[in-house]
Amino acid sequence: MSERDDRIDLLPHGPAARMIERVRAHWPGRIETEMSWSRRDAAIAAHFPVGPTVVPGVFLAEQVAQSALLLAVLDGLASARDLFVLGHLRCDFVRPALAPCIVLARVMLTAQVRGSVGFHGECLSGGEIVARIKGVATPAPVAS
Amino acid sequence: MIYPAIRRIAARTSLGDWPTTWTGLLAARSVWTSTSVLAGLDIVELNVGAIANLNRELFGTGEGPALRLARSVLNDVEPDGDTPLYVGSNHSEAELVRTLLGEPTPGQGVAMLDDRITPAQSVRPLRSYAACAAGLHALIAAAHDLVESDAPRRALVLAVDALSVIETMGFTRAGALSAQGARPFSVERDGLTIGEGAVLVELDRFPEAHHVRILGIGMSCDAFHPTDPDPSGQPLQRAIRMAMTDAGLDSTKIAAIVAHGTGTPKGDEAETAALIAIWGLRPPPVTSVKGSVGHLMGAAGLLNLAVACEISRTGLAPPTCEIADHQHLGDWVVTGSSRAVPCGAPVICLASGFGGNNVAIVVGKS
Repeated sequence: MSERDDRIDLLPHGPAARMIERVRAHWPGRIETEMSWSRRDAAIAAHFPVGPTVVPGVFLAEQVAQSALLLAVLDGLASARDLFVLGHLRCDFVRPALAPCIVLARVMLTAQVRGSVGFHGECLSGGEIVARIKGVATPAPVAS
Repeated sequence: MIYPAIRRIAARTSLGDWPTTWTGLLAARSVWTSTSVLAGLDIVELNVGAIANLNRELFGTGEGPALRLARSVLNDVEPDGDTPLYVGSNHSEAELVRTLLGEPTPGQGVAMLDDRITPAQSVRPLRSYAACAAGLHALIAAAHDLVESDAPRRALVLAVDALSVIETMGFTRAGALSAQGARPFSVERDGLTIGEGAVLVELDRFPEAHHVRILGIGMSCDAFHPTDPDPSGQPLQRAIRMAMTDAGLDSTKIAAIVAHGTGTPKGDEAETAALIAIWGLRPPPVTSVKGSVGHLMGAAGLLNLAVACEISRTGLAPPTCEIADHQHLGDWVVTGSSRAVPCGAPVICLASGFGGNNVAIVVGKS
């Protein structure tokens, strides 16, 4: 398992909803994060109870999206209290990530327009790309 | 945004059809459904293969109970075939969606669609895994489609769930089932009671004066835990405030609240925290139907919407059953007998589901 990184506490997500365990590297506009998966994780064990231990693709997408949010916070483009919703998401799943594994997400911010943030990233497992993901996050609707 | 109106309501619950259900709720009747079917089974120890076998043994290999419920409620409204159908369900009966939607056409959507179904390329599939808020997610999809397109004029929204072994096993393993029957908001609450049923509403873009309409919609996600709610209630509070903002109303204008009110210690605590944060200790009357008919899972949200519509239409908020005491919200939980509210006034209904998704919808006569 990866060593835990305190920077992930900047995410607004509850601990059980976080898909990042460690920030492996961070540069302005770029971030690399890690998330480890074991066969015993409930989400893995229950997803395909009698099949291969595939990490569900939605978790890969979530890791990339959370990485983009964390990057925006670390770069000062958003505060940790800002709430975003995914306005668009495109995922290309190249090959399965099989637990046990560590998923490395490499994520970049691509554009910022009227508060919306574009991002794209790739997920790697065992050195191979397993998914390419693009998305746009927009500020959550205002609730007075 | 001008949302459509609710033109018709149909339902099947453990109390009966929709008129019988509504009068039963007003009379504080409580009828648990066929949970006894599964009583005595060592469901905690079942594995997936055994569940499949048991489902076949209990329900046969023909139409499953959810599909039968769906058919019965559709028969009540006799759809014309041109009206698009939106379906929300938690249920694992693959044939439910396949049979109801057949060859999907553009405009149709499915909330909580079975993984094994691959819609045709021409379809704009809506895959919203919204758990116990699935019915309201289907409603929101239908409402937005009606607002954003010139045709059709009307849409049907169906939410349905039937008792299943896998569902019962899951909630049993999670320790979420009540031993005594659900007592929403009670100090002595010990969990939920699984119910089953179907709810259908017909939306109309051109309502008549007597129709209750959707006034505002709010959604949020806890992003907290796969199954537990955020105990602060803040994300639910956000959905409620968003719905009121969308409706152009402040909290003082809400005449009643149809709560998600499952009767689980954590769920009611989070919901209570959200209501107190908005209304303080003087919220409008709060009611939950889950003490009467159980938790209809994927159909629970749409049932709450139907109840909210009737409250606004009739000016009567039904009581929450089986409560001798209630935590925090005090007398504002409706108990014993129904409570009068202004006819036509805005009423808000809530639904929360696994994954932390929250929906709040305000209905009333604008």
